[in-house]
Amino acid sequence: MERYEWSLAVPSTDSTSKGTFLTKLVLFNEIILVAVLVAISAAISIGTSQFYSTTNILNILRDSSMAIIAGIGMTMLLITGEVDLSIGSLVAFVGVVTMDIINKTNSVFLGVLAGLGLGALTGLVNGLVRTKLKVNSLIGTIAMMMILRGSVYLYKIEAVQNYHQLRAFYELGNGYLGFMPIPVIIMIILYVVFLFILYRTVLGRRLYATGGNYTAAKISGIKVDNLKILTFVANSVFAAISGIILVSRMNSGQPNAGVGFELMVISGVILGGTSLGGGEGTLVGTLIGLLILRVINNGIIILRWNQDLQIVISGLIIILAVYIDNKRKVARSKIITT
Amino acid sequence: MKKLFWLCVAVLLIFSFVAGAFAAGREEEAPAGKIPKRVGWCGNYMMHEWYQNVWKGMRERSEMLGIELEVVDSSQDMAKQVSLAEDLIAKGVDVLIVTPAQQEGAAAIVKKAKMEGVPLVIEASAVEGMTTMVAICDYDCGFKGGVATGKYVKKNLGGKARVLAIDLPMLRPCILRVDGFMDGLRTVIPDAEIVHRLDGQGLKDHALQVSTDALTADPNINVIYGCNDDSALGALQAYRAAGLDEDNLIVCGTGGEGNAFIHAMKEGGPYKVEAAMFPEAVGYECINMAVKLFNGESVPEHYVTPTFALTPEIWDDYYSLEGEERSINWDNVNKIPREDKCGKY
Repeated sequence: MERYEWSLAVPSTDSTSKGTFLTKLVLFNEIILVAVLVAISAAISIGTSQFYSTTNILNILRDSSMAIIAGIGMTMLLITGEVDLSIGSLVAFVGVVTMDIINKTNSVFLGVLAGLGLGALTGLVNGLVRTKLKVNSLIGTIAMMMILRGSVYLYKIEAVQNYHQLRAFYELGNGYLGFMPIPVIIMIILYVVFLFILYRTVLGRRLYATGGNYTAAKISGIKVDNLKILTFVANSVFAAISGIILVSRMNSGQPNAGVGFELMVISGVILGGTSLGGGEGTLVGTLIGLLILRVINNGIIILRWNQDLQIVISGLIIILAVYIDNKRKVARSKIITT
Repeated sequence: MKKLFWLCVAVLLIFSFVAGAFAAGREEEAPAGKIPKRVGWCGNYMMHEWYQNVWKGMRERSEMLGIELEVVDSSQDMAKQVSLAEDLIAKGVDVLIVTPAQQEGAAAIVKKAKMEGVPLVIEASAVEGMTTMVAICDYDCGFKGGVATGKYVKKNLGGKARVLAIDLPMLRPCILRVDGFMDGLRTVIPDAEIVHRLDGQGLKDHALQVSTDALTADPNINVIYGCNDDSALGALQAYRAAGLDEDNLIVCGTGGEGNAFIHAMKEGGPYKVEAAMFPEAVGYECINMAVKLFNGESVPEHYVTPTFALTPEIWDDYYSLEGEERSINWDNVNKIPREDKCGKY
């Protein structure tokens, strides 16, 4: 049975398209997440008016942009039934390499190219380890995480400072186009492009098919291994983009950056409704899931609550949101089958 | 001709005696008594800049004394550390130095070393049953940074201090540094206010993120303190990204574990105080203490290594930087007065 998960799009032949507004709400996959995000935002804004300030909203978006960019890649990868735990270490290594190459060449372009190249290479290795060596992606990418984390210290034991202070490099992570932070613009562009790819192209359908039923997809003629390699590469390139934005924001390449980044991204993607088993997931859900986690962290600090609550509340929200969404899915199946 | 020959020989002999006496004088800098042949150091988190510089100090002192130094890294794994320490003991090191991965777990190493009759120096964190520990005083280090910061605030920032402190609460030394900083600051500015005290996990990217939120809530923060250099620098980046006026800010970092603080000070920006801990001196004194223990000398339970508040005007009295290679000025560092015991543990 096909398990494509269509967000926002109810097929026109579906009889429920003529249902009530409430029915349509239940069919809208991300309704619970939107409700949770709205509820949390409302609660925080009652506690402090600073939450809805332009500065704070732009800060939330800029700070979330790195995770959301990485989340695009991770969503597609999880949809194919794979996972990548090496992106945190990759973010650190890409940052160090990018900064080092910029220092040596005085060229932002070459530094960014080197960072993206490292990302692509890492993704390729992860993909080949999975498809050719048949190593489970959880194990394979944990190993890659260790390799990258050790290698970055072999490459540079100290943080790589920004020697040339090139304006273009600084603007990448800290600049604005009009009122919008540049990392947010990068995020929006990537998000729109891959939203289209995932939902409106044959490639997107094949990703779902591969994750939904690997054997059936293979028999139907989809080159599933090549598709997985491509997705691993894309995922790592997205992580590399996050790493480049981060190094610009920090103004130095830090070998110890990105600790916990992969878990945060995966948590947000899963909170957004993407299944670890493959075949299900939406970019809209990922966006909202990661925003929920970021808004919680932001709210706790601006409300001056105990910072340890960030982890506790995030965990509770994940459980609650997934539970309510499971209930919604049961209601949804009942509506569709009647 | 014969007289000239013997005159030359006499001059050469006198010269060599003088040179020998001079060399012997330099060797007098070495501790009295026997020198251990082999010293083993079971480090922890060696990939960190701090420990790279501790290692540098240990290496320098070992080379001065002709000691063979063997170094292993437990990588924050206590079980691995116990095993590595036992290996070093089995290999026959004359003295063992250990940087505990965990204070409680390291007690097993203390017991083993005592059983085997191997003198043991603990570096950084006290362990039950230890003979001696070489470490800085975290509280006093923070305190010195606070006093220097307070003086700057009084002179240049209108005498009001609203502090963003980036801490690492899971580590007691970091808590002590922040406490010491605020106590020191309040000796100069009694009504100094700690607006936010946040966990940056000791990492620049986490410090950047939490500071971004804190500065949104309170943009009139004018003092940033980091429990380590990465924390301070991450918060500074957040301040810059927020577009706030750097002329109204002072940043104080802690540690001087790498070169980042030197670059920050050389920039001429708001990074004005470094509560320096001189990791090279920690390593140097570990070897000195190892020699004392080897000779059965009486040693203090806590040998305090120097800490000092460096500013842009004086940092190069203590360090020099060529490219990315930094060198410590031992003469000046060794002159820094040291506490007999810490103000707070």
